[in-house]
Amino acid sequence: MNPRILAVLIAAALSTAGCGGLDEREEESHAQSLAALERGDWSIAGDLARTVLEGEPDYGPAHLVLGRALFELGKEGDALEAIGRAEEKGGLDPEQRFTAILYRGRCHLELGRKKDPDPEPESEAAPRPELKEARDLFIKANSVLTEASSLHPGNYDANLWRGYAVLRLENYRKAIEILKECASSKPEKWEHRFFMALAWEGLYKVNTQSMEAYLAITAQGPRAEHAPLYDHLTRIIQLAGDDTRRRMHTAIQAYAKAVPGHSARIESYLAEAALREAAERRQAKLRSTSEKVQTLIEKSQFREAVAAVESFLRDDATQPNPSRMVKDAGEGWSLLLEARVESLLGSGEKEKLETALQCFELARKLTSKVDRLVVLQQKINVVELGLARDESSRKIQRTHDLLKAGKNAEVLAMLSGMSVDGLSTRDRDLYHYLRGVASYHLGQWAPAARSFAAMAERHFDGIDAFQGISLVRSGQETAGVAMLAGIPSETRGDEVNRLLGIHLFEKDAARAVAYLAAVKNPAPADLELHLKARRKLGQDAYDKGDYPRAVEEFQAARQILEVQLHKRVFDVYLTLGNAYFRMEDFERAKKTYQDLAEADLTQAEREQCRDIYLHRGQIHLREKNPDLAYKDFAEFIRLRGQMPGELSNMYGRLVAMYADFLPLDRIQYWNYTSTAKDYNYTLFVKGEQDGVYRVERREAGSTSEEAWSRQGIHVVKRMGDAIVKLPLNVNPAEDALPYVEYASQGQECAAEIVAIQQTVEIPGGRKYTDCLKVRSRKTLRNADGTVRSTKYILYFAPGVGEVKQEVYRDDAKVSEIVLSDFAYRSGDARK
Amino acid sequence: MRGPSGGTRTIRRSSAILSLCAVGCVSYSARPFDSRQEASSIVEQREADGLHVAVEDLSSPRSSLQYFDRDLAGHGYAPVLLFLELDRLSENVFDVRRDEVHLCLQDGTRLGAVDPLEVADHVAYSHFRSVLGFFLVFPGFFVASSVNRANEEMETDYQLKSVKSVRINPNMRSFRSVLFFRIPDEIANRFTMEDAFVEVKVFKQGQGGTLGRAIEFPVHFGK
Repeated sequence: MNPRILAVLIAAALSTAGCGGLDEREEESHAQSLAALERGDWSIAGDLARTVLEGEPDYGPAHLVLGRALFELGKEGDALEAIGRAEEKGGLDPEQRFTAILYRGRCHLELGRKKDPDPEPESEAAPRPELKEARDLFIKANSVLTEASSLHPGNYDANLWRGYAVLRLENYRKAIEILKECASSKPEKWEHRFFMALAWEGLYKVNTQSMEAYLAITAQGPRAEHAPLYDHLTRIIQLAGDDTRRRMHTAIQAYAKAVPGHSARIESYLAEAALREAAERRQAKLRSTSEKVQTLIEKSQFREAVAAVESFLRDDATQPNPSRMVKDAGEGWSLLLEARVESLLGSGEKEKLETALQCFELARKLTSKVDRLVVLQQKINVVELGLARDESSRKIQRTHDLLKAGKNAEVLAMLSGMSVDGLSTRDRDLYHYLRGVASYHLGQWAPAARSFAAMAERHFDGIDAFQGISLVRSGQETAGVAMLAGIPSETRGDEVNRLLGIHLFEKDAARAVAYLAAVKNPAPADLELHLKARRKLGQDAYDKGDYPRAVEEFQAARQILEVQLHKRVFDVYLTLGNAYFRMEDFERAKKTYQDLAEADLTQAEREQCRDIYLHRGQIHLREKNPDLAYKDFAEFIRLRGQMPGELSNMYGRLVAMYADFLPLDRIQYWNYTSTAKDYNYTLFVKGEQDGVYRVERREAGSTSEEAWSRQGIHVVKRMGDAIVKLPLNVNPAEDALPYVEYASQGQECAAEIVAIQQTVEIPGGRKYTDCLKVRSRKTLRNADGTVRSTKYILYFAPGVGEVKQEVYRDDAKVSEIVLSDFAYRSGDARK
Repeated sequence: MRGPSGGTRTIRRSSAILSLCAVGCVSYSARPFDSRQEASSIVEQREADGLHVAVEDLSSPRSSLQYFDRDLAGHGYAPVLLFLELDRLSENVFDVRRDEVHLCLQDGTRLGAVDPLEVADHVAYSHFRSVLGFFLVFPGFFVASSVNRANEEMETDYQLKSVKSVRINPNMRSFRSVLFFRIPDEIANRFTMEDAFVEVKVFKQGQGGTLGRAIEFPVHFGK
């Protein structure tokens, strides 16, 4: 109907109804507001009603129109006030009064819904103030709508909204009863069916009956007014079975497409549904991939299975969130691949190993379990090693050629980073051998030792020598020496022998000597060490009394010295000579001593070697060569030797026999001092002619000259006419001490050696040993028969001369003269 | 005209005494609740987390007299029987307190439950009749004693039928208690239980590390 015609008709109806309070313009406005209300132009209706009320504020129907318009515009609070004013102002016909009550009730209902929107299915509300306020509003709505129903018992709207109010009060059975009345009055309407289905859900939760009711409504086609129904469908759709859910989803999609301004809830649902669909597609794809992979693996088509899995993973990687199902499926594939691929490993074929590797890598990629990751990685390593074995073997062979060419650094560089796991024992040993030898030649002893130790089978020539030397030089001497010592002597090289000699020298010199002796091309250091070892062994043997052994060692040492080192070491000769001496092999002893004695030794060395004189002297004694013995003993003493006790007497006699107790050829002068009175004199040896020495005596300002000469064991002094003859040596052929008588200037003179080995200590503390004590007597027989005698006790020190003189007159000591000073001639080496 | 015979007089006298006894002596007589009825067996019941809750309107004169020996609605009290039952599979524990239960009337008025002693005191037998007894043949103290006894029995019965709070748990899965809602004087003349319901708030104890929580819901009367 044309709205303008409708407005005119309504205005006419109002006029006849008696709204005489409005002027014409207001009547028209009122009519237009009602027409706008019918059209659903809620704002226009409200504005027109306000226009009417501006002119006639007490006009109840206009308040009612305003209230309805405000209600439809969602301003229920204002609507309640407007409707209240309409009822208060009056002027409402019964129908309008009913409408006012109905909308008042609906206002309460909507206000309650705003406080507590439609609940989610199967949810329980926690107590909160809004809930109670909403319930109060629903109670009010029920009360008001009950009143409306009583006015128009069969009115659809009154029953519908009362039913809904009771529904929201959770009195579901009563709601169903009320809504059934709606069905009897307007069965074609959808709202009561919707609310009734909600009530069924309140009683029995989401059920087939309620869902079928919703779907029956949606079957009428998507309409904007069905918004609450579709919103509700989005709430319960997940509780429905598959078929019903699909139908609901289709209906919601159709609604969203047909009604552009649909709710945010619908939008949200569709977005979630799209995600779910995508997830379902993923699941479907996952299932199909799983089946395919299973089949391929069963047929041992591993490469195809891997390709299928990787294709799936590539596609799945585009998904924003990883799916739990994908992870589970991946774990399953991983297990399957791992289990089935084992069969490929035994063949050793490259192609199969590559396939196995690919499968294991994929299995590792697919699993997230740490223990399996470890196991798979180990299997991958094994397969990789298997694959790498051939290549490694070739590489090792090439490296061997490098080693032969002496390119040790290149060998190490080439072997660097190469893994030996999985290689055959032979290749692995070769690898370690190459590393070891190269390191050895580069002086990298510790790495070399490690490499050699890692070898399983030691079938390389000289491996023990390499390893032993590396061990020794890397500080592992015990192990190294043990290993080197185990090498058969015929295969030991100089280096091995040298090292063994060096390292055994301290602990076992005998073995060290054996090794050092085996060095074919000894270096000076080797010879020195060999010599040292021999000397040590020889000395040890000598000290222990094992003189043959000592001789053997020192002979060897002497050989080293003379033949290889071309030098002499006196202690070798000395101890060798001593050893011979101890063995009573005097010829060799003498020969050895002679060699040493003729050597160019320093004084200190001579002093150290003085025993040769002692021993040789003894040999001379045994050989009845006392003169030679004396010389050696004398040399021994001269070199600060201490004559052994058992030889001291013999030596003393030898001294008495052979010592020069008046060394005229060496002495420059003697100076004597008398202790009896202040008297001294000096004897200068002026020179020699024909065996006669001129001796100048200087005393008390007078000078006289004497002639001293030797006559056998005697010395003869001529002082003018006077003669003094003294025996100054013992005769070797006679045991008795010499005695001589002679006459001088009419006096009877006699001289004899009365003692040997005398020690004379003269004032000043100086001592002379091995002195001869000579007694000289002059007897003058006077004509009267008296005898006057003068006795001299003279002490002669070997190599010095007279050192002391005691003078007796008639057996009474009258003076004592001692040597206060003397000097050898310059150039005398023996002083 | 012949007067009543001696036998007739005796009968009349006895009847008068008995009538006086009936007027003066009182007694309390109320039935216990039917123990066989459970919340889960009532059609109009609510279930929350395994707790079934149902209510029965006892405010009708017939029910009220039957269970309380008084028409309590006439005295301004609406008795409601509250059924609580824990589902046989549930291990939850619920606390229900009288203060947390309200009767919501059709007009939105919420009535709170009152102490049963208040109700018993309000509806107690009066001692006025004993005063009357002292003036009549029957001795007044007998009447007073019977009143006291009846009131005590009523108090005891009301208290036994109504508890302040209860804990429903696996050891006590079923419970019923009457709640007395006082009807304000201003609505007494228009009081109706039509569309009325009981608003129940229960507190569910936390278990196994979960927090406890309150649950509130309306429970409607069945027909």
